[in-house]
Amino acid sequence: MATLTEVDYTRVSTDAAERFVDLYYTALNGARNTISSFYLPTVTQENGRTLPHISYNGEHVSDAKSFQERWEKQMPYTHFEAQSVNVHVMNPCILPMEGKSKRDAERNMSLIVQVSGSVRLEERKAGPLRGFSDSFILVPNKEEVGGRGTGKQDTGKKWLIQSQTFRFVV
Amino acid sequence: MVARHNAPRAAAPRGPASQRRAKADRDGDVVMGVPFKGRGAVGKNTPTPTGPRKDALPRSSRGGILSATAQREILRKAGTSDMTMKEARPSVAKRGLVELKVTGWNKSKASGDADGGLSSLIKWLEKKGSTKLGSRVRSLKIRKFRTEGSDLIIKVMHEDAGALVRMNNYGWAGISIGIELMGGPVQDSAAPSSEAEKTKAMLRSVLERRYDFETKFLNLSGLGADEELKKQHIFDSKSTAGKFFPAMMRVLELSFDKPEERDAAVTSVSLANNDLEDLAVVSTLSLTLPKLQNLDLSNNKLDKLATLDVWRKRFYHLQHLILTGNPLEQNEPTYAQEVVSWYPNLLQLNGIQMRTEEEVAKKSKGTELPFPIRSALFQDEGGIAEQFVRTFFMGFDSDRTALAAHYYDDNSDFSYAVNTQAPSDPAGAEKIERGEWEGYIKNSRNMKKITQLPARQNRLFRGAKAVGDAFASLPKTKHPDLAAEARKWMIEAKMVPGVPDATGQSASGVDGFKITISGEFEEIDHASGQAKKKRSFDRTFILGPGTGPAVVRVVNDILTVRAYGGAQALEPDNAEGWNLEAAPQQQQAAPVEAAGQLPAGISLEIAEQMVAELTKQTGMTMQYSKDCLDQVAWNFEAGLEAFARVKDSLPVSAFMQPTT
Repeated sequence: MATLTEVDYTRVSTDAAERFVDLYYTALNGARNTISSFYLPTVTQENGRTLPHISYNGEHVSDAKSFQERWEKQMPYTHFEAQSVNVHVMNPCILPMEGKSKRDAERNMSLIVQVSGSVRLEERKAGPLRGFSDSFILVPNKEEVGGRGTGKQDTGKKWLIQSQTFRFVV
Repeated sequence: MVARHNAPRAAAPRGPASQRRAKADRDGDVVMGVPFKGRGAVGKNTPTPTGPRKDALPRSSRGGILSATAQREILRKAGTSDMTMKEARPSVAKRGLVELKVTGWNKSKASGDADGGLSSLIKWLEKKGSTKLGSRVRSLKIRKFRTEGSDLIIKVMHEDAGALVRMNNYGWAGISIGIELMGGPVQDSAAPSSEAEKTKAMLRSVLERRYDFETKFLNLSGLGADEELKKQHIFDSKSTAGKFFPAMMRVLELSFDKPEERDAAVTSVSLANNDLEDLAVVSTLSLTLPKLQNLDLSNNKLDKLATLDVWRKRFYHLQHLILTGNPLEQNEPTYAQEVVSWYPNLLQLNGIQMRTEEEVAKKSKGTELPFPIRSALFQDEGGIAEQFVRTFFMGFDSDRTALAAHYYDDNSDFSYAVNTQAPSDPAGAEKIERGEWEGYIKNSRNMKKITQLPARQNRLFRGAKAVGDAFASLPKTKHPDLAAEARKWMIEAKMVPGVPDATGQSASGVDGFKITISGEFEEIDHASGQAKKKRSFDRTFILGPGTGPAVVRVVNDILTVRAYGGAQALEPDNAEGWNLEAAPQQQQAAPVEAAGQLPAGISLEIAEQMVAELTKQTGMTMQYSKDCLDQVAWNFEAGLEAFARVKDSLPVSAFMQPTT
């Protein structure tokens, strides 16, 4: 059984968070037709609650498709800047890992990411500047969680949003 | 108790004797604000609960009308029961005309008129005797009149007599006139039958007299100097004074069939010249008249903006507010800007144009973002998340080592990051200085700045001990009170799956909470104990089921510290969060964390249980229960005893309101 060291966990989680944050806010700014692909496909848990759980300025948006649609059709110009990013491993071992490789172990954890930044709204430079706080629970994009896989070329998303809480804070 | 006092106040019209009595009562300072400061009775600053104050004792020797207790009882009933307040009409409509004698009128300022002031007196009687405030507007007509010596004899419809009799001793043209029924007390079915009805009728008459139908203006200014109220000794005791205003609001509500009629009938209210130090006593105005457009609070004793906080999310439709003549003008130089930001439809402040109607219209359209700012999405389960937040920040401000030991275990992770570039408060209250982040930067784990793996590794703190040490390395803080300053907090929570199971029973994890908090704190200078800096923060917790003494354990705690960003962004947009309709005020749960110091041996959990139990047994609000326990050093029995001693002098606001 492959076990990861604490340094492994830090490396995997911080690399994943950085890459995710770059891609995600770039998509909000300019590739809005890809927004829903950052989220876990909708699943209903045993307790009846659905995932992903998106909380945006206090509103519960229960599916990524309609979330993306609102961005595409109604959201004015935005320029997000992530000024601070931090990440912890939430659950180091989602599934029993008997006899799995280290590579598998690296993709068997969930992450909690906290982002603090600013967003320019409506227009470049002159638009109103707001501060935001965004936090995510990321899970690996795997068949088991209903994902589409990442493909040979590593083109897809490696991590998907299971839960998000966004707020304008300034 | 009430019935006992019926006799002396029976329908006999009040003569000059009562006038003299009213004068005699004018000795003390009859003011409205001071005697019934909402929390005066069991306030934090009161060293020990005292028995009923002397001035709350029955004062039959003085006024003779009602004991304070009876009066209190009546006001309470007037305010809560649904005894009909609509002017009772005789069921038999035609009972002919009734004669009334008007005395003392011919020495008025109008006596120089050609008719000695007669016609203007008639006009005034008709105007004042008419019912204008309420769903059943009624114009009073004086059918016939004649003079007999110095008296004026008038004839009115039977059902109008009650209104005129109640005008006995009203002031007209510089004098006080007497009005009484001729031929002894006629059975006036409109006459109030019980003390409670009389009190209601009295309040009703105060309202009617102070209401202007044309301008829809209810003038409640200078209530402490109101002769009719003084006569009733309303402001002589703290308890009646505290109940008077809510009772009057209740009477106002009952005068109308529907809230819409009420809102349409009264669009302006003045509470000027009432010596108000805060709004505790008058806060019900916002529930009775939530759609008020004009409000005059001038010449009171409001010394801080915080005293207006109860009406921050009230009066959404307010267009004009007057605050002149209050100490807050001097104490808070920027109050105008702040107040304008509270009321989205406010056009004028103190008579000065602050916005145009176009600006208001434009503003109400909002910024057109598809994600409007809503109030907190807080999906708790059994109060677990709430309890955690209450306890956590109290502990963080007072004893971080104990806090870490309580909620964190060997597998708990904590780290923090500093966002040095974060946008700051648009109002620009705090300055960014050189070395601004010195106290934090050493262990900041902001990935944007800390790119080396070992540094990232070192700045993650695992285990209660390491977490406690990291907590201790951060500057001392004071967070705002969760209840009193709720608007400075944004606390959201939801259930999340896949949280590691500390018992190891579930490999795939268990359900837990994700709590995200944005707020602010003050940094406290170690040496002086003084607040030196305000900052904002965002904090994310993952909570799992606890294995130790606490109900929950912290699995992850990620803190971001940033420049102070103000609390404006946390306010819900437009109508969100506004109390638009007349509705009973939500009972705000009073948190224990506002407590100063708990004595040794009383943990937070015990303290919370004690507050809940005292509330259960006494019916007091949680805040009052907490204050009460505070004063008796958290001895529950002593708390109950203290309550028994002071319960009669507690204001109505001390008790839980039935949510009807």
